[in-house]
This record gives sequence, C-alpha cells and structure tokens, in this order.
Amino acid sequence: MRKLALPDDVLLKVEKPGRYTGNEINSVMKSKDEVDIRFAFAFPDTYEVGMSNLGVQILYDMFNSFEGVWCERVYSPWIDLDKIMREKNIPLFACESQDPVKCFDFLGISLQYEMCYTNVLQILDLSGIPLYAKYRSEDDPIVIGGGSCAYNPEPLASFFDLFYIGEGEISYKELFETYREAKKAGLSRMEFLKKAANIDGIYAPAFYEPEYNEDGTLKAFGPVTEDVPATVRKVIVSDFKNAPYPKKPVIPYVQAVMDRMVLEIQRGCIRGCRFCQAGYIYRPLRERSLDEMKEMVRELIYNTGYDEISLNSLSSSDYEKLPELLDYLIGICNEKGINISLPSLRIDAFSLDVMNKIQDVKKSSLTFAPEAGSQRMRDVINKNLSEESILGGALEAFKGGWNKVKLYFMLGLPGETDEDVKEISHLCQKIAETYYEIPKEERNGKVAITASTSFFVPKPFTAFQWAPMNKEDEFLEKARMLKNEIRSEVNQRSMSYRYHDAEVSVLEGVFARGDRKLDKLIEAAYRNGALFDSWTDTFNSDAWKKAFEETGIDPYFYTARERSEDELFPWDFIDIGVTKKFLLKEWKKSQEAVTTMNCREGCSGCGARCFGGGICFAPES
Amino acid sequence: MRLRVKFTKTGPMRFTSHLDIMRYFQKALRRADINVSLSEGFSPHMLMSFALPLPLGMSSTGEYFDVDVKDAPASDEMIRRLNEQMCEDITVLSVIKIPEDKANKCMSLVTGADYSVTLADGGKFDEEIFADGIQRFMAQDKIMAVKKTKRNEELTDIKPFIYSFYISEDLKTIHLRAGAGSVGHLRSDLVMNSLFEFLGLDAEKYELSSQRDELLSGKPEHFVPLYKMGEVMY
Ligand code: SF4
Ligand code: SF4
Repeated sequence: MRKLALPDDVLLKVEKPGRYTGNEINSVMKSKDEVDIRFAFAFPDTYEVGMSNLGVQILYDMFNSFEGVWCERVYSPWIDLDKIMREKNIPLFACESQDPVKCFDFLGISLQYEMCYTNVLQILDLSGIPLYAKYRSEDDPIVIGGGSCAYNPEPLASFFDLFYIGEGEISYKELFETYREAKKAGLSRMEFLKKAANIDGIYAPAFYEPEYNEDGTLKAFGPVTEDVPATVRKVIVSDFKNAPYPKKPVIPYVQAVMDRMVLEIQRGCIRGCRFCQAGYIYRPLRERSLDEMKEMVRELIYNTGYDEISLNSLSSSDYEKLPELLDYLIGICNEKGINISLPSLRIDAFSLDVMNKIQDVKKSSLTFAPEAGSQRMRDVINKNLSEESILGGALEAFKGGWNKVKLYFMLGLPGETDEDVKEISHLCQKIAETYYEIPKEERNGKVAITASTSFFVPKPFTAFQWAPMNKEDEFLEKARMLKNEIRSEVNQRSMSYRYHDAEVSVLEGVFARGDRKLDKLIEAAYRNGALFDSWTDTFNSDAWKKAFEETGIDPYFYTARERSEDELFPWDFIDIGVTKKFLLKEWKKSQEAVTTMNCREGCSGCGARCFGGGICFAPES
Repeated sequence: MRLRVKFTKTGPMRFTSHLDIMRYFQKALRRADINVSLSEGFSPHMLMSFALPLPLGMSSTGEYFDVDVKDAPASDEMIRRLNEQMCEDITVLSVIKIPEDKANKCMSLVTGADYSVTLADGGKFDEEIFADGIQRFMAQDKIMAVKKTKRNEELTDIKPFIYSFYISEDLKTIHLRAGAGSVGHLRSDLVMNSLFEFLGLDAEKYELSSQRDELLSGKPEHFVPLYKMGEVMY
C-alpha cells in the first residue's frame, strides 16, 4: 500500500481529500530505482481544473512513455490544506509517489492564464524551493514553465529556470538527454541551463537581460552571453495528422471540471480574429486525420469508460471533415449510450441538425459569440460573423424548438464608440423580434436571451498588442450604459445581462503585456495573501491593491498606455512564426475596419508558413 | 436483470466520497464492457443503487451496489472482468443475481452493519480496561448518547441498536454489530466514543482505525448479509 503524504486527520479535515491521494485509474507508478529523471508536473490551480487540462494529459502520457523518466502530477492545495501545510510544515508532494516535490529533478508548471501567477509562487513556496531562480542551489529541481502564458514569460522570468515556448511534443526528449549528459559530466546547474538554452523552443531567462528607457519602456533586450540565441522560436508539431495522443488518460475520482473524453481534432485556427491570442500563437491550423480520430474514439471509450465525449479545438466548425466525423461519432455513441457535447460550433443549418440529433432541444441553449454588437466593430476585430447569419441561425433554431440563446460580447475593444456598445443591446432586441416573428403555435414558450460581456484585455502577439486597454471606471461605465440600453428595449423582459468583474481584467491586462519588473508585484501580492485569483470567492482585492502601493508599480503603464508602432515589446525576442510586421498591418487595417480573409480562403502571408506544415501547404481550393 | 456487486474499499480510497465511488463504478462497468441497461431519453444513464454511504476515512470489506444489466456472464467471469478494471484499493468480491422487485433495492434493505475497530498500529487493547469494560458498558440499563441527525441533536438511548459488542480473543479487534440504514442507524464512532467516555478514557489518545465488515438485512435475530440475498450465476 502506498503511504500518503498527509496523515488521516488532515485528510479528514480538508474539503475533497481525494484531490490529494493519487492512485487514479491510468495514473502511472514506476519504481524510483528504475528511473533517472523525475519530473513533477504542476498545475497551479485546483485538482479539478488541472485534471481537465488536455495539455497536461498529453505530456504526462508522453513523458511516462520515455525510458528512465517518471512524470507525476502536482496541483495547488486548496486554501484549507494550504493553511495546514504551512502550520505543520508539510512539504508539497506529488500525487503518485507522494514524495516531496523538492526531491524531483524537474518541476514543470503549466501556465494557462495570468491569474494563476500567485499560485505558481505557492507551489514553489510549499515545495521549499526558493521563489527566485537566482537563489536556487544545485539540489533544487529545475523549474520550467510552459503553456500559453509562456509566450510572454517576462513577468515570471525571475521565478523560472527555463521556459518552454511551443508545443511540448517536440523538445522535451532532447532536454532530458541534455540533463542526463550534464549530470554525467558533473556540470553545474548554470552550465546545464546554458546548454538547455540552445535547444529549440527553450528560453533560459538568466542569460538575457532587459534595459529600460527612462519612461519605463524597453530599450533593449537580449542575451548577456555569446553562446545563447538572440531569439527563441516556438516549436510545434508540423505533421499533426497522425500525432500521438494519450490513449489512456488519467481518470480522476474527484469529478473534474471536464468529466469526459476529449477528442483533439485540430490545432490552430484559420480565422485570425484580431483580439485572439490563441488564433495567432497556435498558427498554422493543423488537422488530425479522420481515420486516426475514429481509432482514437474507440480506444478512448474502451480505456476510460466516460459517458460523454467532447471535441476539442479552437473552432470545430472549421474542421474540414466535420460531417463525416460527427456521423461516425453519433453512430458509435448511440450504440454505447455516450453523450456528445459540441462546444465552439457555429450556429447554422448543419450544426442545428446535428444538435437536434444529440441533445434535448428543450433543455439546451444555443451559444453565439459575435464578440461585438455592431457590424463595424466586428470588422474591426475581423470576426467574420454577419448580423444576417446570426439572425438567420437564430430563426432556424427557434423554428426547431430552441428558445434559449446565450450571446458573448467584449466591451472595451479598440475604437469602440457608445453607439457600438448600444448595438449589443439592439442585436439582442432583433433576436427577440426574430423569435416573435414565428407563429405563436410554433413557439416553445417564452424566449430567453442572455448577453454576457467580458472586458477586452489586449494580449501579446495579437493585432491589438499596441492597443490601450480601458480603465476600470471606463469598463463599468460601458457596462452600465449597456444595461440601461437593454432595459429600454421593447422585449427587455426576455433579456438578461451579465458582466465580468473589471478588477481582475485589469490585473490580467497588467500581466498579459507585462515585463520583468512585475516579479516584485507578484511576490508582494502573494506575501499579502493573494492566492487562487481566478476564483471569485478567493480573489483578494486588498492584497493586490497593497502590492501595487508597496512596489510603486502603475498598472496603467501596462494597460491604458497606447504603444507606439516602433515600441520594443518584452516578448519580441520570441518568434511565433507570425511576424510583427504582419500584426502591425492587421492593427492598421483594424483602424480602417478592413477585414482579412481566413487561411482557407487564401494565404495572407502571416509568416507561419515557416513551420513547413498545416493549412499553409493545403492545395488551393 | 439485476445484479448485486459486493466490493472492498480500503487504503487511500477511504478518502474518495460516495458520489465519486458511484462515478468510478459507472466508468469501470463500461471499461469492463458489461452490457448495462440504460435509462431512456436524451442523456441515458445507468440504473444503479448504492447501499448505505460509508463515512469518509473508514475502510470497508462489505460495500454494495445493485445495477440493471441486459445480460451478464457467469459470476466468476464478471468478478474477473471487473477486477481487471479496479484500482489497487478496491476489489470486487462477489456478484449475484437478485430479484428485480422494488423491495429488494440494496439502498432500502440495510438494517444492520458489522464493524471492527483496531488500533492503528496493529497492537493489542489493554486487557484489563477493555475486556471487562465493554461488558460493564453493555450491562448498563440504558446507554445515553447524543445522536446527531440532519436537523438536530438528541440525547437518546442507543442500547437497543447495539446488537453485539465484544473484544476478540487476541485483544486486537473490537467487534460491533449495530443498527444501520433507515431505522436505528448508529455510527460506530458514536458507540466507541460512548465507550471511552464510560471508561473515563481520552479518546483522542487512541489512534483507532475502523472498518465496516458487512451490511446486513432483516430483523436483528435473523440478519442476512446482502450478498446472500440472490443467486450466484454459473
Ligand atoms: S475563431 Fe477567432 S476567436 Fe476563435 S479561435 Fe479562431 S481566431 Fe480565435
Ligand atoms: S502563412 Fe498563410 S496560410 Fe499559413 S497561417 Fe499564415 S496566413 Fe494562414
């Protein structure tokens, strides 16, 4: 029997103790003596959120397939356990072996959203690893970060030894080999890090330094030694058609946020919405082959026993063989009593037909993401979705028996006018009218329209990386304006409106385009008690306010400032394939409300062709 | 047809909640490719019923659920296939076919349970204190204890629901048979705490581990363990 890191009385005191006991189906146990590399893979959020991350599952499976490597999982202890661990000096441990993280060779931390940064410090701190990389000893694990936030690693640079830029499938094998050789040769930590910095996609912040102008903007950024590269290019799986996938994903006992099988049908996106970081950093679009996927579905059903399957991709409607794939899925899932969930499908005759087959129309609601209310604004953001097609889709749906519609919008997009904001409300009104156009007998009760807005946060590597972000009061003013407008609509009783918190959005904005000076801010907030910042219940506004005061950091320098076209950005040394020149062109086109075609319509020469695969090499249609 | 599955839950799995165990078995049945019956409608689900939830942290060698299936292999084969899908701290012990009438749902059948309480370090209980102490404890006319229900706390006489209570010859295990389920449900820790209080001992000083050994049905004089309420499939 495995010995648990936490004594019974502690496990009985905390919420959901099953988060910490490991031993899940398909989790991997190896013998310590048979491996020479131990990798602790941490997700800086709750177990339920972390277990739902496909990237972690993919890498966990891949690492454990390597001879001599044992990868184990680590999650942020929830606040109840966090407190007990500090009081009783219990070090953070990995789920599988229950051994302290500090005795591992590597600590990998998945960075998926900015609001997990204080949890990164929690993981280091509870592990007993110095927060700042420069204070780590030869015995501390090598701390490496990856995931979408690693594309602007600078706010976290002081806390990491390495960052991995791109898709994990490519360079880890070489990194582990390099580590083995370094150990054999008796190299020091720094010597190893320098070798690692020369592996594709690996960034070692210790060898790079920023220089600032008087106004705080970046003057120069580059290596301080000769033998590391000046730019770091992301690495991706160019031939994704038959790329490996986890055949036996770990199945948690404690219900995860995503309690289902996940079928990754493609990576990247053809669309290029100008606000969307994922759309740019994961370019080019690469599709998995249909045959491969059929095989995947069968294996997943057999190996997991889940009763639900969901497609994973940025924009599933764009998958070329979607009808064939869905036909196959519906067939096999009906036979086995498995539900299909289809997020990110565009609403049209085809998708409605599919949803009709797989869902209870009465219960389900339809989701549109127009992102902006006015056509002008949708052109600014290059969201190729016309009012006609929204209303057309809604009409079809209403005729088919649906009566619940959810709409997602952003407030604070660049160049947004009051009129643009109010158009959100008018679009909702038009949808309501569309419902009441159909004869009463054919209606399914009352229509319910929910509009949700989030506040726009400009992200690095997007066309809007130069854009100023609204301040909190501007956001709230817009939300109020929209609320009033919705209240004044004829069918306001059929509408409801929700908006996200502005304070968290501003913080996100600070870190998204932040630089290395922010390490002190993250540390201060953490010391003031900030933790689990992405959870409404645990978000600690005072801790952050105090941190800004203590460090003298001005959030608006990072958010509200308009950046000039020739400003050097902290993330410019990273090469995502898509060029800064292309993004700048997109930024300018957005100001004229001119749209850009998607990759399937034709190539706009963004630069991602350099990876030698995907849509860039598709035969002209 | 309806099957009854008996299983153990020990080690770290003690900290997995009742609901999570339910989901665990739903997945395991699918992985084992058991031909389960599903409810009609848009989100079909398995027709399962679990007996009496086990308190978190307690281990058990007598857990049960009933499940409706379209057909099933022999009991032996079924046990083998399920055990191939189990984690190390859950083992399927028996599978039987049970009558499908409503009265036979394992959720509502339970009227008693067997527990064994040991010292966490595997040692012996002090003979002088416990052997005689338990007898004196049981010799009381009434055993008053505060019983917590969902709504309130109540001082009640729990003696009628302690069906047997004794220490094993090797002094390592205290055996308790007590009321369980809808009528006269008695938690084993309540009985143990009352005993310690009666003996004037500080319960905190003893590190105990308790296990549920079996679930029983029927009247106390004629208790039948749940796994005997159907037939083995050949
Ligand atoms: S469709 Fe637009 S918003 Fe969605 S992933 Fe693609 S680029 Fe991003
Ligand atoms: S190079 Fe062309 S086809 Fe390839 S991702 Fe860029 S725009 Fe699309």
